Amino acid sequence: MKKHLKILEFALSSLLRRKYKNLSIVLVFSMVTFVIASILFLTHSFKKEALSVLEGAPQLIVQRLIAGRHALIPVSYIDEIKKMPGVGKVSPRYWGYYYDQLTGANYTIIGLDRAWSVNGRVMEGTALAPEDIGYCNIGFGVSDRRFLQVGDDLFLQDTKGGLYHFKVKGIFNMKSQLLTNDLVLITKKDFINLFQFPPSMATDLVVEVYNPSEVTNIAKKIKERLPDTRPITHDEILRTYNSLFNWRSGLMLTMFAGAVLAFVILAWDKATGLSAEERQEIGILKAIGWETSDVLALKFWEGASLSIISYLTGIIAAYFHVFFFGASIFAPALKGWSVLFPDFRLVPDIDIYQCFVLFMVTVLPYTVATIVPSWKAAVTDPDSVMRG
Amino acid sequence: MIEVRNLTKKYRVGGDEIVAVDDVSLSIKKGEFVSILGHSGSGKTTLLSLIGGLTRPDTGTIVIDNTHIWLLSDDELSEFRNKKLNFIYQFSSLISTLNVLENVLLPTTFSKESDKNRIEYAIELLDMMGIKDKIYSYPSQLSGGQQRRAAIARAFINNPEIILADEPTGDLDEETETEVMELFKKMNKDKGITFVMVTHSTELARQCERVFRMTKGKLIQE
Repeated sequence: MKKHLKILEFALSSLLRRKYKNLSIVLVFSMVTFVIASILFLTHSFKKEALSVLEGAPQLIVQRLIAGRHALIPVSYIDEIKKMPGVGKVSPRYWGYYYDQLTGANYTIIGLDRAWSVNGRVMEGTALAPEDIGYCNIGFGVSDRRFLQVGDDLFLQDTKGGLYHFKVKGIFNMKSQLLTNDLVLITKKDFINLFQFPPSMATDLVVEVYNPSEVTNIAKKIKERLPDTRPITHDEILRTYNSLFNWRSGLMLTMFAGAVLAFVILAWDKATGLSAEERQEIGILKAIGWETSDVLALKFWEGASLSIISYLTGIIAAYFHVFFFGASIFAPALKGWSVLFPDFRLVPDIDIYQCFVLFMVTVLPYTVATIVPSWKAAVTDPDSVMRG
Repeated sequence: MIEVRNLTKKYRVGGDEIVAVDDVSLSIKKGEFVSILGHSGSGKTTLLSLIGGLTRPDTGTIVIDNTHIWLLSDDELSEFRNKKLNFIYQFSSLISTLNVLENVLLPTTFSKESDKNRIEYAIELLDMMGIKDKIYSYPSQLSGGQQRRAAIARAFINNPEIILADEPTGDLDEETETEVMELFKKMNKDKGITFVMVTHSTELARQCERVFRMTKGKLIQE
């Protein structure tokens, strides 16, 4: 044990002695870990946020399609759908996207026609009620972009180019920003007035199904009975989110394949040979009485210390980058369309399994790559090693 | 006691086979100071490496204090080297990233001796070598002669029974060469350390108790 501590001490001081060379390795290694970890953290968080959105999402949404394009749906469809066995409540939803020229961001505006539940999420101020004409609830991103507090005025442009005035009644906090960040919640009446919405139409319909395993069948029946509709099930949205973020993270990893390649070359360079100086050092250590196992332990600690320090640096930097600085480097590519979305901060949440896999594909190969050539040198006659 | 019997070592250079050490036998008593004299390429350095267990012979045996060193495992041989013998090389054998003191202390890394005692002894040896003021210097900051003196100090740090010296005064000026030889003789006399010194200098060789001459891998006692 004491011997191992001495070797560890020697290894650490040996790393410090070659600080500039090792610093450059740490830099490249950390950078690669940072890039991969950032993408993994970001994708994981998006999926997690998406799941939290879907937790409260309806089992079945019915949209109307005209020439393949999402169009407003007649409220009269509600009665048609209600007639189907197994269908519970059917409600219209009023929502739409609003591009705010002032801040260059897209907001999601929802018209409320019933008592609103914020799904346990905390809000500053009070929740909007259906009778609160002229009032609104806004997401954190909107309040941040427009510098709004509870009691302030929000002006939105209506279809005639005039300004529609709302008083902020409540602001959603940062807890689940993907859900509420870009949200502007107004009453149904205000929504119809703002967008000059036809009174007999809604954006889409929400369908409650008594038996969750019947959702797919109900969706099929709605499609048969109302051919111009597009029923979307909860599971379909979930699959879309997963494949979307998997695809985007794969794309990002491909883009950063150069960095990964640099790391592989670094590890390969370590694996395929030692410098003359390193070989001589091993020869000297062997000649003065170090055992092969001592040399291997020394090289193991050197490689492991370097790679673990780099790995932790990369992981910690990625954590701060993603969860405290909004993943400013990668978010635009991963979020795609949402470059116009108000900035939002993800709730810190990491997948330990992903960290473990990253550890196994970076620290382990690097450490092994450090040991193999040292082992070759250590089992060769010291005299030949020293003479090269 | 070092007993070498029928030692042969061949190297292959390109397509040619070179016999560096050709059927060499010799006996060196404990506490003796012997020199092996020869020109460059005569095989004297290879013979020293074979005796010290740094190079594996093709044939022959080496017995040091009743131990067949080439019957030992790699780790046992390392331990044997650490306890019994030490080397002084003709080339710079200091680790470039360690300072002089750290280089000298290197063979005692796993020693049970206290750090204080080890450091004190290292400084004493460096004082004897005349480079006490260079203990925190790095090899690149030293002259060839100073590097050699640091290597000599390192050779003595773990009180070896045998010193195998390959051209130990090669880079030293005449005055320092004399001082080093006097130190070797003193260590040999006071501590009973066995010295096997390889040199191409007849003058240095003559200062030893016994002189062997090596020519084309063959060893002859003068």
